Amino acid sequence: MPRQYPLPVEGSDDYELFLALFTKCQGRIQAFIRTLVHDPAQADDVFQSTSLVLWRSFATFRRDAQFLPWALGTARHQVLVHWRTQRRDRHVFSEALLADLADSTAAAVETAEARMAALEACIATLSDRQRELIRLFYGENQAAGAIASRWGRTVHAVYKALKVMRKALLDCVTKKLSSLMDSSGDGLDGRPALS
Amino acid sequence: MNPPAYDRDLLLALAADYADGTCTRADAERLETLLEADPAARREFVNYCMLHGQLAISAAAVGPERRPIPAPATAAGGFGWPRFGRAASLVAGLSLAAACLAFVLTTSVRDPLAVNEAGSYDDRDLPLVTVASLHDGDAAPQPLTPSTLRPATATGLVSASGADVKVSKSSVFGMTATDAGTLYGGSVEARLTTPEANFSVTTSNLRIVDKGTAFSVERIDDDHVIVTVLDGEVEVQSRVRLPVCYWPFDEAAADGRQVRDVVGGLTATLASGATPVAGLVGAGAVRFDNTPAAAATIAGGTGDRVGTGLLAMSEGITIEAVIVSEWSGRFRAYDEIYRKEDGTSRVLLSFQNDGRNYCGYSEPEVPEGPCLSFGLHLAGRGYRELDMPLDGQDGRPTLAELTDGEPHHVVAAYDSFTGRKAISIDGVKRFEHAYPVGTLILSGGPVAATIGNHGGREPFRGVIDELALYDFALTPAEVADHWRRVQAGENYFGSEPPSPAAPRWQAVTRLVEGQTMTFNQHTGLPR
Repeated sequence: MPRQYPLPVEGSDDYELFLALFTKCQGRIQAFIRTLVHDPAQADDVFQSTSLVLWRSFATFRRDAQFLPWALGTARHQVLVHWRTQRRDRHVFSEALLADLADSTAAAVETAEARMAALEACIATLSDRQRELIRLFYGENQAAGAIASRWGRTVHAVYKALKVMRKALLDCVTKKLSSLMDSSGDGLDGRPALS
Repeated sequence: MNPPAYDRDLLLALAADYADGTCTRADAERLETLLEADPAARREFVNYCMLHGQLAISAAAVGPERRPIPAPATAAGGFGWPRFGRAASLVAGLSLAAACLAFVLTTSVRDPLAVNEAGSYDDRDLPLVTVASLHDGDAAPQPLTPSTLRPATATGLVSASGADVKVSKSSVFGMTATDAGTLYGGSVEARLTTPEANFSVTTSNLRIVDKGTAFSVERIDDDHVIVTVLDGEVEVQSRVRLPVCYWPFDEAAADGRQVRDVVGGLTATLASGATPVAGLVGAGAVRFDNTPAAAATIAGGTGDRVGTGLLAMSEGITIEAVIVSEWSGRFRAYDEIYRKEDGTSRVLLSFQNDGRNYCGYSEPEVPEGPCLSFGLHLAGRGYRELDMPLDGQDGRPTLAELTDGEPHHVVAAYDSFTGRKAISIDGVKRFEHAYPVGTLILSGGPVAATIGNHGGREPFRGVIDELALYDFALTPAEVADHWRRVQAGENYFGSEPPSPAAPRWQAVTRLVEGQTMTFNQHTGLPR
């Protein structure tokens, strides 16, 4: 039988603290879970179970620690439990690799806002054609075949254009983030710079 | 910065294919090996997936009025939190980006056991068969894939089978195969240059097959053609209106997992989610339980290129079945009746509900909602779907009517001789769209066809019986006749099913050099 911890009492200091910490991190916890659990309904279930576990085990949380890593650790466990109980061969990657990717995702979620800002700046340097490709492929969800017909090109040419564009954007975003880390003398959000 | 230990270009190329769903299983395994070997590769992969996800919520994608508010830089050069709209835009943005990453991480690559309720299309243009070389004046001969010629002046080509073919000006002539063409209007002359060469010309229900060396076919009105033998001999044949393949599902092999096509000889293997049950017509049918393994995979009928193989249809097609559907009608839920996914040259008949004009395929455009979709690639137009809304309007059935637990006769047909693409339910045409006469279908190729599923991702729920595939369009009268027979408890063809490998063209007459004869192209008989 799982160990039972005393629940925070509504109105108590613990209750208020949990609420404040959880609310601040809720978006990132959700983003982490939805990164690894594709089905929205299942992701909601995992998020609910994660939230419950966090709530029930809050008494074990060290008040001088950072809440987000603790919460993401619980979320990671819940995601892995979810995959094991599903037992569906719906993904190619092994469970061990998924666990490693979960760790990497946790780190990536930390810098998502900075990446988004850098991405917007990098998109501004693209050609009109490339921005149109983003609008058609990502905004209007058009298939490569439809875009190819529209442009009078082959589907392969469209996929090639996507690859070239994304690589250019990735390099641009990485460079911008590196510049910011170099100028700030620190990693993003106070963390060591990522390689 | 030191260069990465892993092959970054390879990683990004594989990640791109994985994100776009064009990754083969072998490439996915290579990607997995790369990621397992190096944590830096994993970080870069996640960065790439995050970028892919964030592109979907960028201003360039969604428009500046819906752009998430960017994080302002602080005085120290780092990034702070945006002050306005953070809860809504930031969580939405992160969730969208993470959802895209989730799709990339969890999507399965050509895995028959994978489950994904979102529709999936293979957008590759697979290689087309070369059927002839086009000779235009002094220019170098140009290779010709299946296509329709409408020349302003007389045009010559050499078929891949070795026939010199002259298409007169203002004709409409479809080069459909390496040794065959279809005449829609005007006239064509074929002359064989070597003993090994061969060629035939088809018009509606008539086929002229060379047995000698030179002949011409001229369409003189909507109903008649004149055949003239210039040299040697031809055989004039009329079409036997039977399917290319027909699965009545009345007999399963001893293990219950193999079902036979009683005409074309193609065997379909039932996966665990497809179970033989009592027939809607005749002794047997198959129940599909909407699991990833609900599928009957057809062995054979393929070719190495689009336009080849028994299941390659060019001038016409009919997909016919009797079904009891339990489709939910939910958004992004797909129930396939039949699908052959040769990239963009796919053929499908499925229940769909994927939003308004998903991927630009709907033709004509229809409102959002549950549809019965008939998809074909038409030469010169691309892949298009006839999405029949299940809205009860203009004679169309509703979703409730089609999923009422009773058997329904479903026929999807396209006829290049009329340009009509139509869906009929229970013997009556319910929805159609018209294309220019002579527009050919591009279909067939290396990919196996499936009854009741697509890659494990779009399983049917319900029963499928009497699946038949034709390389011509059933007429409205034939569709009505077939439904009447089904209602009487018979198969489409009366009490006796067609025999295996029954000829689909029967000889009408032979003509020799100097002879000319006029035929009714619909009946195949001399006038």
